Amino acid sequence: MATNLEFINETVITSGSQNVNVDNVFSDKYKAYVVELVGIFMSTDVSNDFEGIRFIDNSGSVVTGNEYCYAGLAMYAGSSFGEVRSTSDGKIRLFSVADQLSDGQTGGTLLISNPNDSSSFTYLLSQTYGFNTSDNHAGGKFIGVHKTAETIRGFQFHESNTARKFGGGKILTYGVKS
Amino acid sequence: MSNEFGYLPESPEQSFGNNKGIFTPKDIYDLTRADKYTNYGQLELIQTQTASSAVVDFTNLGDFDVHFVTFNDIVLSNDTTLFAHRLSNDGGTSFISSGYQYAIQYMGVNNSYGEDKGTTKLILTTLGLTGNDTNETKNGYIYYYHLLDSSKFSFCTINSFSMGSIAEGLFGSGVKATAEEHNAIRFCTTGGDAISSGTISLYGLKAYS
Repeated sequence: MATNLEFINETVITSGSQNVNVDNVFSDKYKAYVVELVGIFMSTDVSNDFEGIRFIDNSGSVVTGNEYCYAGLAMYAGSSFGEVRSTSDGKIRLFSVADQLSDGQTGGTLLISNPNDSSSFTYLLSQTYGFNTSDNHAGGKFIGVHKTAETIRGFQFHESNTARKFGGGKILTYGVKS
Repeated sequence: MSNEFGYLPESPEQSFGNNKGIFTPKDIYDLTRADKYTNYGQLELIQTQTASSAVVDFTNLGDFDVHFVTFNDIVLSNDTTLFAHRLSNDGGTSFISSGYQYAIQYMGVNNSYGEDKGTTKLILTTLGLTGNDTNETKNGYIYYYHLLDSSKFSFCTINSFSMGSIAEGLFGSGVKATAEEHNAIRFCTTGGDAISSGTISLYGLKAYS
């Protein structure tokens, strides 16, 4: 019997990756998607906050321009919380703090709305967790939007610092049946 | 062996989202156990429990990377205690009562918003406001991540809404920053008081590699 959460894709992150692309997962079959970021960590001993999510357009190109805006709360177990926002940026921040495997991991749940609709912006709601040796435990709650009306077919988990590569983890994508 | 169109171990190749042929009940059983039968509905109910004592323990977590919990209409016996949860590393024989970290934002309908946080907590997170009068219940949901992975820490994210003397919402996350398998979850109160009523459901998010 079909229920309303349908598995689409599992992407296992390869150690040494600079970015992680999850492509061709959005279609006209669903209007909303749940993405689980699970146990993602760094390839080296470095306390990091992965930069965020960028979308992949209908031609397969990662949207790298300042077409995103976001707002969120960065919550630290050991220090004061902070507001994080931008009206024009090259990614949507998630606040994903991580470290090498033995020192901490990050992940969380994303809800992505309307990616396959060429006449609509693509919206994202996220809640993340993480741990690294500099921040201790930290999590985020963010909203973001890709403020260009176009068809989006996938996304990229993004880090621009070439000294901070992914070490492993996985990304699960589900469609929410309507 | 069903027939020429059914599942044969050698051919045709079967996988999630790509099943071919006609299947007998045994074919479906075998393929499902092998994670090769397409059966949409990846939020799988593991167990629902009705609260009526000091603790509600889930000791069967199945085999999932991500767990999801809903708690509904939780009523506590004591007016000053908090609804909370803890983890076990011995299958529920005992539950860890120290060494947690969490960071939670709370939002009251008629008081200031604020931070509830710490790096030496006795519970994984709080889950709701105090209060035990009529209709002062706690409701919400939790995601747990890699509880059963002994190479990673065990994290959760929470969202809850409850009534006490005021209505208040919580969101945030918590961790037991020890790389070990955490194979049972306990719902409890910070004061050791009873969870008088309410239901708690545990689900696993099915994935296919």
